[in-house]
Amino acid sequence: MSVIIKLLSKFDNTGIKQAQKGFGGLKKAIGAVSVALAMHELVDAAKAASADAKSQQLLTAQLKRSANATDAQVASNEAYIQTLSNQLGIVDDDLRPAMSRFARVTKNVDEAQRLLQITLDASAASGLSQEKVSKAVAQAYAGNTSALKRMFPELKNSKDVLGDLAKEMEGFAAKKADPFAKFNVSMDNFKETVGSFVLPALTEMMRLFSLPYVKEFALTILTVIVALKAWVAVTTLMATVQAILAGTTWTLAGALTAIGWTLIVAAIIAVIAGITWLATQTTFFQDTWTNMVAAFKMGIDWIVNAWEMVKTGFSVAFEFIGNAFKAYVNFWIGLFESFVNGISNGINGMLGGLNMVLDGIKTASFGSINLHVNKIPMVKLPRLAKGGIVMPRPGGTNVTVGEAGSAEAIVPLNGRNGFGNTVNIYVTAADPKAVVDAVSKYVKGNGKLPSAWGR
Amino acid sequence: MADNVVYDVKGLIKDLNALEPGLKKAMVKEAKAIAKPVASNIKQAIPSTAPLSGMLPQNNPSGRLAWGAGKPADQVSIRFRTGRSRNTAITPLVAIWVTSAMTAIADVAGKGSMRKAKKVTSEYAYKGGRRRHAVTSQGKTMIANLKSRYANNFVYPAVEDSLDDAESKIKLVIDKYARMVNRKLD
Repeated sequence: MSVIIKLLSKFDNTGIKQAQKGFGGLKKAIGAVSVALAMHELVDAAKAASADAKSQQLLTAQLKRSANATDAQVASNEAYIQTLSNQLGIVDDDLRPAMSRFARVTKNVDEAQRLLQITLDASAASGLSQEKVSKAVAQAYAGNTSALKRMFPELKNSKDVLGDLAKEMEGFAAKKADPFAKFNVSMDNFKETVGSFVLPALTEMMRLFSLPYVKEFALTILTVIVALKAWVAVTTLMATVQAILAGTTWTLAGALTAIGWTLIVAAIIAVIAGITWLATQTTFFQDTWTNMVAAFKMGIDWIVNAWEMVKTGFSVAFEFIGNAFKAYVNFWIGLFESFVNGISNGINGMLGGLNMVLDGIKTASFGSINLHVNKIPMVKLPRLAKGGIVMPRPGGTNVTVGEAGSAEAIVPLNGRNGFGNTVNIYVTAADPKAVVDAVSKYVKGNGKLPSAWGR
Repeated sequence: MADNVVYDVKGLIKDLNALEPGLKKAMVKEAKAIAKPVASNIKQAIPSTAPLSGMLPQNNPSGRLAWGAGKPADQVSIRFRTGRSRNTAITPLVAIWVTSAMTAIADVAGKGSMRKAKKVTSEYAYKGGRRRHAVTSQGKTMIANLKSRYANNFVYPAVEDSLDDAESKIKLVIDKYARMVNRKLD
């Protein structure tokens, strides 16, 4: 740190100039960004050129078909359209449909050009859209002048509607042409010209991407993913089904046949096989994928519906069996519960496998197919060896009693509150008198105190 | 004081050397000679002993900021610099430098805005990492003590009256040598 007292200053800007020169690097960086932007513009230009080429093709086809135009006439007409577009500041894509319309009506290129000029003048003079006017002009040329007369009432008594309109409106389009619009159109045309050079390169690039082996490569990857997921899911499902069948064949055989378990598994395998088949046997992936998604959704909907039916059937059957056995042999109830839960476990395991498949499909479809099947809850029958109160509810409650080896009394509590009932007596102040008053009020309303109060 | 600015000193020095080797040296010597009395005034204004006891070398045996540590507290140098700057086009040609750090600190103490300091510094690089530290009241106390002893802001007041005169004289020297070059060129 120093203290500096200036006595005389000098001016020398060479250092600053040098520093500014150093910004050349920055300019290069800005140049790089400009190149990136230019790439974006080139793609836009290619799009414009593509649209322009399509529009030209349509008009050419129309001229050849309707007006028997030669290639020279088509080229001349295209030049006319371009000139008109630049002079009037109207994009050529707006002119070509009108030209097509007039070619259809007049069957003559020159006459179509005359009608186009009339249309543009009339549109500029009236402020009506060029499309509306061109339709009316085309109708007028064909003999139906009412639309044009409605638009231009001054033609009501005209003998030569189009001739009078042309005289009336001549030169309006050129006068109304906006210099900025002209500039924009010129820029658009320039863009299309640039795009016409870029488009072949892009087309070639797309051709490369669409080569069979590139497509096959993508298809193979997808097939492998789907096949792997399917294999894992099928293996899990089969193991689960085998476990269930091995443990409970004697009881479940009838039920499984009835509810169509096998059908569900077969359906899942069929759906997976269908997906694999669709992925491998099609030539264009996008279409295949769309169809596959639709088919799979249908399959899954069917499975989900079937599963709901199965669940309902199981519930009814198990409830019936449970009610039949519970009153006779507690041992069998315990066994039944284990059995039911064993089945539930097996089914839930199977559902886990199914959900794995669905998760795989969700991943493969990037979340567009999102399905999930809920698992069924475990059965838990209440044990009452130590006594207890079962509160009423619709359909009653299945219980296990006497499982501790000693006798138990099962007494209905008809009209009684029972020990477990809660009696609410509200005292709003910590005052002994208030407590007494509240108890008295309860006795008045209910006849007596609950027996538990006497203990 | 409006800046007195001279132009194309580099060109002048180049021409002086081309005209006669040693002319540049003579010009610099003359300019510095004019600044010498100013520098001398500054030297006299600088306290001969540490204005505060905390600045004494015996209280700062290893620090570089003790009064007169490293270089004399009253060291003043006159510099004639023709180098350019990348940040500004106008730079000092002749300047008087008070080079002792502690002298400079004592001189500028209290010249700031004296706004309330932040309690913690902004983050700064430290030993390969970054850190911040609490701001103590040491600086404020130092400034208050220096002010109470009239031991701050002593450099500029000592030369304030003689600066314009010195500046004009140095400019005359530059002009004199510039005329010599012009005469020779004509």
